[in-house]
Amino acid sequence: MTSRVPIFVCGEHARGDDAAGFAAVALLPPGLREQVDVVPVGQLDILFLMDLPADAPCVVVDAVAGLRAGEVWVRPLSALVDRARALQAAGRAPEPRSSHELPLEQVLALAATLRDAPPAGTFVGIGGSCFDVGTPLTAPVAAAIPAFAAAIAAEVGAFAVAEPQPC
Amino acid sequence: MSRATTADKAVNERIYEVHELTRVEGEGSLRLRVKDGEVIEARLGIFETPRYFEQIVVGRTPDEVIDIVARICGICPVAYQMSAVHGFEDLFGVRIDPQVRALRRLLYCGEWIESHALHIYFLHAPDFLGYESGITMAADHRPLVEQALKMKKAGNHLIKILGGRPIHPVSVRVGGWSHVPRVSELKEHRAALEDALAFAQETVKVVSGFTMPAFAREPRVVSLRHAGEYPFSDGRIVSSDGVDVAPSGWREAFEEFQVEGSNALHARSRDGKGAYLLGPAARIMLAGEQLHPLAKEALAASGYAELIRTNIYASIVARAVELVQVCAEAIDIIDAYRVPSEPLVAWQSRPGVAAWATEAPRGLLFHRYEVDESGRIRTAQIVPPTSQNQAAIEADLIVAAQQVLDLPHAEATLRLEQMIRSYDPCISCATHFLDLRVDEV
Repeated sequence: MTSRVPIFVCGEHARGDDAAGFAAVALLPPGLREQVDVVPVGQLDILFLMDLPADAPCVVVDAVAGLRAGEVWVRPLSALVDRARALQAAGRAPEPRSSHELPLEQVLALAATLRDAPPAGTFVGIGGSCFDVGTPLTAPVAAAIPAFAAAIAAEVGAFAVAEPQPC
Repeated sequence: MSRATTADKAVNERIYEVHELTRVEGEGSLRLRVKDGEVIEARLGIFETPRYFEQIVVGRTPDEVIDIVARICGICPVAYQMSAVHGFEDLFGVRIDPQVRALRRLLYCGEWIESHALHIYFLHAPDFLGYESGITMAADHRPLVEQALKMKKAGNHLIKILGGRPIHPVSVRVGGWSHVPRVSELKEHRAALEDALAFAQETVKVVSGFTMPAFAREPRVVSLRHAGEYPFSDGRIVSSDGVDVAPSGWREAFEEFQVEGSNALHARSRDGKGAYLLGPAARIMLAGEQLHPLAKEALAASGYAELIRTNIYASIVARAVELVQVCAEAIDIIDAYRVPSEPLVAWQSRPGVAAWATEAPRGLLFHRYEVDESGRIRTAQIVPPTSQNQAAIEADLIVAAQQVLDLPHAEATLRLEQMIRSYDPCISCATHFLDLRVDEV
């Protein structure tokens, strides 16, 4: 018996490369899928993180603007919290324009504040270049989906730990 | 937190600019003209790209419309569903089971809980407590923020039980519900709502302790009013000065019109009396006698029963009182719940006009659809509360701006932003991006 690792899949099916996360989790091998809970979240909501037991790891998956299209990017969630706090301290934090779009790093930082520690787990991202409504994945992102899925699988494999069997 | 700049265009001309007003639902801009020390114009400019929902639903069936219009807003999707479904049922002569109606009120309770909790603690309270955001506030007021998140979760979960998912629920149908919960499902959530109720009562005390900026303007107010219940989906559209029309009759008393510099239509009353205020304070002023006893008690104890009439900053107290209202009513509905004998009744489409107004968290939301002979939508009109509140916001800004022009720029700017946030504008529904600019000429 194993703990199921939540995979929070951010993005929007209809917005070009923003659908990359959904395409990647669809490629996870069947054996691995039994070890995860795939949770399509659109945007990561603080409530998802607050519901996690302490120290329970999760994987957050999303497409990322600003990277080379198709580049897979893996960081501990704690590193994103550190970055958010550093930007905040420097007065350069990205400003949430509305409660509809609190930046991912700030959601993680808020969770870290309220939980006394950053959420355990990893962010697995992929660089995207087109997020227009009604467009498909761009060619570089579509070509990198297997690598994106492999990176997600590697993180899940690292987190999925055996639980003691009942006596 | 907004960024503000000041530029001296001439000796007697000043420009205040806030490039990004945050802690509102969306984005907009504002221009203030000051002449001889007096504000002579305040214009809320809306330049969000039009979203075309009124065209998207053309050619669709009523049940498709209910799912589509929910996508207008992630905070108040239920309101869009309720105005639409009531309009269609009114046109088609559908009579629903009383328990079906109760479940719809319960769904609305869930939405008000999550929306009001979000606004009070994450969008508005930071103004009063001196923080740039709910995130920074959380470090010093962790128990409050944790409780607020718990309350928001209680509201979201209620929507999930009834609507299948916490945002953009999918089970509301013309004639009832595609799915209704078991009694046990709702009972299991009762304890969370009891906790939410206790925190709502505490919230009224907390926000009543905030220092309210001085402000006095008694607005004309409009809301639904019902003889036997606090207004959600039934009653009549009334105003503080005599408007009294059916919920389908919004266009008899009001009209939309276009203004320069805004992609959102404004609204005004046909009697020429101008701006009007919607939302929690308006509802309490017009329908306060129908508040739940616990909400009445909280309002009385707050000491704000009179001040919410004239000081828009005090709307945070009205919103907190409504949190008590919806938590208490949700518990009452759950206690009385029986699975409806007819969760979904059959109905027959007929051509005509389907129109109805319900009370979104931010105020009156009106929908009107022309249905053709094939049962599909020919035209649609959706009038969200923030569009209707724009003129009242501008009227209040004129008063508020005159009171703050002598303050240091940053303080004046923050005060005006705080006032705008008092309306809980859902700019995503009606507007986007606020850019505050004051010209003195």
